[in-house]
Amino acid sequence: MDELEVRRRLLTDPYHLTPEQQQQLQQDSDSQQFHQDVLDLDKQIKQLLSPPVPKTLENGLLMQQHKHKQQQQKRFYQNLIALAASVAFLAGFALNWLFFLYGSQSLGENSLAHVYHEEPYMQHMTTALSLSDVNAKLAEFDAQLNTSAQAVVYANFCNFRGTRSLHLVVETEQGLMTVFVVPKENSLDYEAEFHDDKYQGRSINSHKAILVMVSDKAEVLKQGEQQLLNNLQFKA
Amino acid sequence: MKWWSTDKAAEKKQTPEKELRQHSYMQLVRLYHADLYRYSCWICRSADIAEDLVQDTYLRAWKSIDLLQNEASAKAWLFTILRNENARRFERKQFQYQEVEQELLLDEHQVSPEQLYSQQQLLKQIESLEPEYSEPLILQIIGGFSGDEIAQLLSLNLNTVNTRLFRARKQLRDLLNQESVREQKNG
Repeated sequence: MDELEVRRRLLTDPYHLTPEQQQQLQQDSDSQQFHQDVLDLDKQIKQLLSPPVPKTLENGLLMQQHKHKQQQQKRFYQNLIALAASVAFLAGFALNWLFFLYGSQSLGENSLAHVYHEEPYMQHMTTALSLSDVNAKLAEFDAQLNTSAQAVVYANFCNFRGTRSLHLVVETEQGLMTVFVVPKENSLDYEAEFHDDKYQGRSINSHKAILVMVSDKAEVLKQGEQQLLNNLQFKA
Repeated sequence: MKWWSTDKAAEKKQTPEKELRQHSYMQLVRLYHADLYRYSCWICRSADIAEDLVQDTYLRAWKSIDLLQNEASAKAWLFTILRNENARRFERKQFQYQEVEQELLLDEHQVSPEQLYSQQQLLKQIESLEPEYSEPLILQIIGGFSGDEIAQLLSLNLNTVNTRLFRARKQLRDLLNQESVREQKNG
């Protein structure tokens, strides 16, 4: 290793010396001096470029991490609350929707609702329908009227909570009676008797379908039921 | 049964990973913040910006502390982050560059006027070096990095780094020699 190479290597890195370099330094005082010069200059540079470190910096850095962590936690909880609120909102909405669609309602309540819906038009139902017309509709429930002893003034299909049913209005001597023919497979709770302030009703569970009768007078109901059961016949 | 259950203590025990992470962050701050700050001062030439930059650096380091696998490479890792953050600073805004605040780097209270003069001379010489030469030199002197580490930090190969280190010191010595010769003549 010539002198130029020795110096070149010392100028490149005076801190990490190879064993070979160390040996060479020990033998050559000029090189030692040169090494020291290089280190001295580095030291000067290091001092020059070492402004005092602010005393608050270290603590600031430690605090910063703490704060960041807290913020993250806070954000986590905020998100959690937001999520919980969304879930609660959706659940409320869905529940309302479910009650609206599938909320449990009894046969009686539903029948009364239908009766009230037709109530304003009932006075105008005066013309009797022909027996064949009525039977054509009843055929869907495997039923038929044998005679036209009772005048049917209204016959239309209606929707009992998703179940196609027949809405009949029958004329009796004492007044009008509403009759519903509802298939047995329906989504309503069966009720044998029901009433509200104005109407009362009875349900009969025959072997093919449920018959629901509603009227505002007890006698109408009693008489009408008898007549209907005599007149209406289910096919075997 | 204790109704004042010591849940919190149990909670802490359950997450040794978190604790470990926090511990290693504290280590990073304690061991390296001074050197990082010095280097930061050098590359931004402003104490305030330097402090912000160090803070940004440590924040980023904390966020990605899981990526640090080897404690031995932690210092170089932090310096790399600092350099990236600094580059980002320039991306973010067009910086009004920059009356070099030389005074910042000189600690005027502890030195005599003569020393101050020679320090100013030295600073001027260092700044007159090409950045590609001064950069590895500063990393070696302030950061205490080996040639290999500098090569990685600057994405250069080792030979290039060595050449630049050599030239930086050589040029610096030549400049200082010229200066002293001139002074002798004038004197």
